Amino acid sequence: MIRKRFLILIITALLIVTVVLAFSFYPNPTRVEYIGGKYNATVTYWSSHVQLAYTDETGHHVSGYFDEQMMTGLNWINSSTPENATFLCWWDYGNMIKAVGERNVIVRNPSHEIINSVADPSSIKEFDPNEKIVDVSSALTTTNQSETVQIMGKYNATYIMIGKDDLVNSVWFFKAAGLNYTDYLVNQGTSLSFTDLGNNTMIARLLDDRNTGPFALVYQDQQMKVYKLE
Amino acid sequence: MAYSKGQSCAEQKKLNAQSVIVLIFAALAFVMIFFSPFGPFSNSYIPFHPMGWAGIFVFLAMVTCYSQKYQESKDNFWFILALMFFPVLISNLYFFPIPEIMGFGMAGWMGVQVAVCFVCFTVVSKVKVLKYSNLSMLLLLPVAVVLYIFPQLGFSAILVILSFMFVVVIAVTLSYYAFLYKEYLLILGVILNFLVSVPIPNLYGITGFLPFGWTQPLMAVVTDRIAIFGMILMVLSLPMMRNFAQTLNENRKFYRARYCSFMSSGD
Repeated sequence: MIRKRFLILIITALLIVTVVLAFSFYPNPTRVEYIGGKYNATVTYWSSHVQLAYTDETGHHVSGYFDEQMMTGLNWINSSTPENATFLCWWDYGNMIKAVGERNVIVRNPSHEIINSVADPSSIKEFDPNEKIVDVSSALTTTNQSETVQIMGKYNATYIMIGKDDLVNSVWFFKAAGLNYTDYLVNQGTSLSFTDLGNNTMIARLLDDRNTGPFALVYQDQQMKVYKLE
Repeated sequence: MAYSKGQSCAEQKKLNAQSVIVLIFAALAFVMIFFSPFGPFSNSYIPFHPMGWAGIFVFLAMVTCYSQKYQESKDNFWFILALMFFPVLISNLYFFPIPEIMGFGMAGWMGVQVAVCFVCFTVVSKVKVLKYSNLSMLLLLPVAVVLYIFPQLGFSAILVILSFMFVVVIAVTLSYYAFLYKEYLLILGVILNFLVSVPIPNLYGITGFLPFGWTQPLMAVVTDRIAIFGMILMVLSLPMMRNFAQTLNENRKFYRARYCSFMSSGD
């Protein structure tokens, strides 16, 4: 016979678990925002995340991560860059630039090889070739700007977009490029910073807007920086 | 060799339903530990995060197990133990895509667990050392809460020391009572839960120090699994397992005797 106090505990736990499971299996979006545009983009706000959905030129329905704080920058890309421009950026921002910025990107999905970098791998339905991921990573982690220009030329890219989280993301840039990230990054208390060697890489220079060579800063806000290859 | 009727004194014993339920839930939680993006089984087969399911199963195992213990001993320790892990259940439910419950995040619910432990043992414990150490931790808890909420005060070293004092007092208190009941697996579970898995994220949350490095999958994957494994050990009571094995053994003897007697009656 289960005692009353335990029974109360079990019933309360089961009630909470039932509500959580119902909420998880049958979620209700808190808000749906129709963006429209060339790719018929829609942003759905769930309690746990924000989802971007759109249809690309092949008729493929794509969904991905969306950061609403980047909306201003994405609108700038949409209105102020050439329609046929291609962006070099980390795959995290690929779907946003494609759907809202309406510009091409080199990568918009992770590769199988870097799936460990994704917080929730089960949310990834498509993968990009690892060669493209390695190229983007190499372009951002090289200390030689000519190599970045060469890789961008391979994909006909003329813009680089850097997000504010790219310092933390750069751990994966170095790993994907086949480099030992501890040579480039150092843990300082609660934050991560570049070592002397890391400070010479393109990503460090682009984040700090220093010594960027042929790349001119054309847009910046608190969330992103956009560079144009002159 | 033939047995005659009534030769065996083995008797059929009923398995304790609560023990069976505990073992089923503990086994389900244990299986969940092995589903992850890093292997051995892909977590894509499990809807949502496997640690969320493991948290639910292990709490149900705990509450069933401790309810049985409470019936046997009438000791409030078992109810406090179940109550202490209720906030941990809620914290584990954050592995599902839900908003914050009552404004507390995972760390907040862990704080509630600590508070429940200190309040309960201060009120209930008859062992003076434990009573007063829990009381002193209870008095220090608001200081830790303030330091956690306002990191700009710059006393992170004090917060680290306080958090370690909290987990040590909890571990010692629980281990003392577990030792009285000869529940050695419970002691091991407590050590894994409070002295191994909790300090790692605490240290990171407070100082930013990661023992396994920034990209080490172990950091993200192992601490939750150590905690769940510790909780599984906390319900796998040795006396209960011994009774369970004894009952199974006696039933096996009973059925064997019945079978032999049936065979010999046919000779």
